Amino acid sequence: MAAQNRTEPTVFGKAGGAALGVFLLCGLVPLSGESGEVNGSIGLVISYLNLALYQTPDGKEECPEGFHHTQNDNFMAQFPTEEARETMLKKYIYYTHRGPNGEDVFYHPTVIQDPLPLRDIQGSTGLGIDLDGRVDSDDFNSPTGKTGIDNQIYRVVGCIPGLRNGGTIDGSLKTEIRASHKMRMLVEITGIDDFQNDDQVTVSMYRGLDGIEVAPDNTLVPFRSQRIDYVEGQRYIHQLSGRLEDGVLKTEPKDVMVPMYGPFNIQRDIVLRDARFELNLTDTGAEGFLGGYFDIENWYGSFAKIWGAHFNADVTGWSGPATYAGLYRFADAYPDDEGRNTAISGAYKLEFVRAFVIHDPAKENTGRTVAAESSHD
Amino acid sequence: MISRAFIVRGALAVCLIAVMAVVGYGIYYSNRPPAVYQGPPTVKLISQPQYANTVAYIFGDDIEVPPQFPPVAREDGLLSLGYANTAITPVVVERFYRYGQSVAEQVLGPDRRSYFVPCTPASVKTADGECARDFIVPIGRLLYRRTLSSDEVAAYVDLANTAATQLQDFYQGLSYVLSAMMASPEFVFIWDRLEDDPDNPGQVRLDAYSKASRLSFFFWNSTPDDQLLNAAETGQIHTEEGVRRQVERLVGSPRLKQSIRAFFADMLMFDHFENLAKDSVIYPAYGPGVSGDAAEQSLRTITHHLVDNLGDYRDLFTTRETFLTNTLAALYRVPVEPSREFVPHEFAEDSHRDGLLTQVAFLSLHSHPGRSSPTLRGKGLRESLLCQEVPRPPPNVDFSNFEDAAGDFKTARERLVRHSSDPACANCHKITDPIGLGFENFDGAGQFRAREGGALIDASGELDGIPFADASALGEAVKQHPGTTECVVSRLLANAINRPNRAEDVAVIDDLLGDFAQHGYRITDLMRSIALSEAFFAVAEPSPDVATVARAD
Repeated sequence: MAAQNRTEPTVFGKAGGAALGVFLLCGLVPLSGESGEVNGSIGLVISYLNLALYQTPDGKEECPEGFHHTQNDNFMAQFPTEEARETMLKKYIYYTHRGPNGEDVFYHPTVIQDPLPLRDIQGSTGLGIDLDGRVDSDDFNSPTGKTGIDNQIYRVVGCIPGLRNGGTIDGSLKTEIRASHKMRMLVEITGIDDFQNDDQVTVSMYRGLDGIEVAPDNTLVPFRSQRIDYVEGQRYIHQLSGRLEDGVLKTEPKDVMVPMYGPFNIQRDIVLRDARFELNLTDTGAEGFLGGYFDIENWYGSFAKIWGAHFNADVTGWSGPATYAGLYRFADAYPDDEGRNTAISGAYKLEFVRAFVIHDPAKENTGRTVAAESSHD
Repeated sequence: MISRAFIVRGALAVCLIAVMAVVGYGIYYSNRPPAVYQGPPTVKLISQPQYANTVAYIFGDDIEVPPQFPPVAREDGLLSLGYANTAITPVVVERFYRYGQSVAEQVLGPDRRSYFVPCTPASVKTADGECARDFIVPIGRLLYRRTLSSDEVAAYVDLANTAATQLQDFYQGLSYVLSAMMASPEFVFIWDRLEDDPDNPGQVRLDAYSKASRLSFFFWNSTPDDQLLNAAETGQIHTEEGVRRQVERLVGSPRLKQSIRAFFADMLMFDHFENLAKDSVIYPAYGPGVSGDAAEQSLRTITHHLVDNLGDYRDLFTTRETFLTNTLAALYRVPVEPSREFVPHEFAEDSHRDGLLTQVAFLSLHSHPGRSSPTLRGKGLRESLLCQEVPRPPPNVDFSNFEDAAGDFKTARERLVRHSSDPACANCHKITDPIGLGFENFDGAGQFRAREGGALIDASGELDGIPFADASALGEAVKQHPGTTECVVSRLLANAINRPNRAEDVAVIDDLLGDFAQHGYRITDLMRSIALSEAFFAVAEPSPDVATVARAD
């Protein structure tokens, strides 16, 4: 009876209808009550990201000689006397300006060689993905017995204390991921017929626009909705093909761009070549890896820009020249014309919670993506 | 000095009034058999929403008011009846004075005074009686819900002049007056005043201003506006046509939602959200803002369905149309357009979310901090929505039987077998648990779950002979239950006339139920029927015994 008295559409007939239209257009009409899975899709929002580093509590297994020599260690070694140090600092002010002409050695890592050697990872246990399908002598084995893991960047940076659990960089990444949408990586898996085993699914990467909610137990509350950043986040939009194997998502390689920010809003995105996911999906999220090959100039440039300033170098515990040299020493992919590898294998360790990815059809397919521009497929 | 003297006088007056209200409640007589039961005149303490609505109407909704008032006891299922039957202490009077001071400081501060003071004083540092009068007369009329007497105006102008002279600030003088007015019993209490009924010699009726207030607070939960006060001044409100005209105006106003919200927040016991706590380890998604959002979701669902859509009241228990924030949507595990505001949302057919009872507000309010409670939910449904009384547990109840941590119980249904097998528990629990188990697909935070302790949940049961398979079907059973409509009619009538239902009200309630059904169970039509019924303004003079007691105090 009440319906007969309606003279105009209800709010659900207007805004609600429009919203429903969005989901319809994107194939996101809820299928089942409150499973969090909509029409064969799963949305995820990032809750943790850092390089995949196998770590023992005291580091003695993987870093038996100790952690990286710091900028200060190298400064002291390079200028061993008080007089030499005073002379250098009077001339160039900052102790990172150790180059022959006062160059900042984090931004110009080739102008000198660090006097102290790189302390690289010893041992064969590591985390990540087998990128090349081979088991090479320098590959790692995972603690759970996987072999052939390609993660040479771990050899170079695994003994930098700031990158390890609870370190300055690790903490900063956690903060950046929560504090704003700048690093809010979204992953949406669509076309799922079987949530355990499906030989063809599509995986889309986006940057989200909306806030996250932190629960009292310091975890992220799952199942919040996230709009896609179609404007500033256009370069982070990528589409990968993949499959589900026993509830594990595995994608085919494709170049992607990962948003990377540090303190003071310093931004240097990371290009990951031949990137692929390997994620264990759970009822409320996912965890696993995004592996691929880091372009060395891009990765080092980003790391040095964010963590190489004179006040950061010793807090995070690393030195530019030794690390830069180490990256090329262990580089294992994308050789240049002279046969020198320009990329190094590695992986991000990722954790996600479930989310709903909200599409806006009016803004879809309006811009180019980095993936389209730089695909090596 | 001025304020202290005022407070003392005000406190004494208020205490006297409170005693009158308490003692006079329910004790009165009539010298002839009435057509409808004639209740006693009431002196009702203004509630926080009524205070906020009144301040917003007179001074604008940007004026901050206290978010909470001292609690009153719920009576016959409604706090609003508690407000009509409460005594207040001088401490509370002083609190009202401080509330008024806060409002006065905002209203008469440099930024806003030009909007509310319709004149410019001769000097801001001296008294200006004429300008003060120009402020006091119209504001006082709205605050006191009647035209101020010339003596009252003169007293307040004197107060303004004295304060302005002592403080050397005209606006401080006005601020004193406004604070005093807002702590006055004339404002703090909503009065039923009686006068001789010229149509029924020897009997009394509500005076015109009291009728205006009764109408305004029923439909808007706020002070009468200028048109209602005019209708009172001209006596139109004593005519059937005059009342009808005002009722049509009131029911058609957007302000109707204020009243609907207040009534259902009261009926659904949403005041209990103030003390609701959830275990954050067990329910991490139930953060600090969820309670408020959940209550708001249900109130928006109600006002949208009942006012915007003019929907059938019974459909509230099956509707899937609602409003969500992103925070709430995470609990429901549904996507919404992220926004700081509520956005419309329609749950999917198989969402298990059908009607008010499957919303987070009801489910979480009637649960324990760390687990669901079929007993509390069954009790909440019976008491809030079916107006049935569930006996309190005996003081010597042994909860260890139920809480047995070592017991091998996977589901609440298994645990509750204890209730049905223990004769001391069974009598009461048989009226709550079979219904409450219907909501077991929702945990203590209102989140859906298919299993508990690894076992599939059986959410079937029966409501007074109506079997149901799950919460959605239970919503349908509540919709069909005759007690559902009878309850809202009786509660709304009680809310309108400021007293609990009595046996003598049966005929009135039956008539209203008939009207309600005839009008498609539209709540707006029910409110219209109540306001136009003989019962709405029916009052009788208090007994002489009561008057004697009041005078003696």
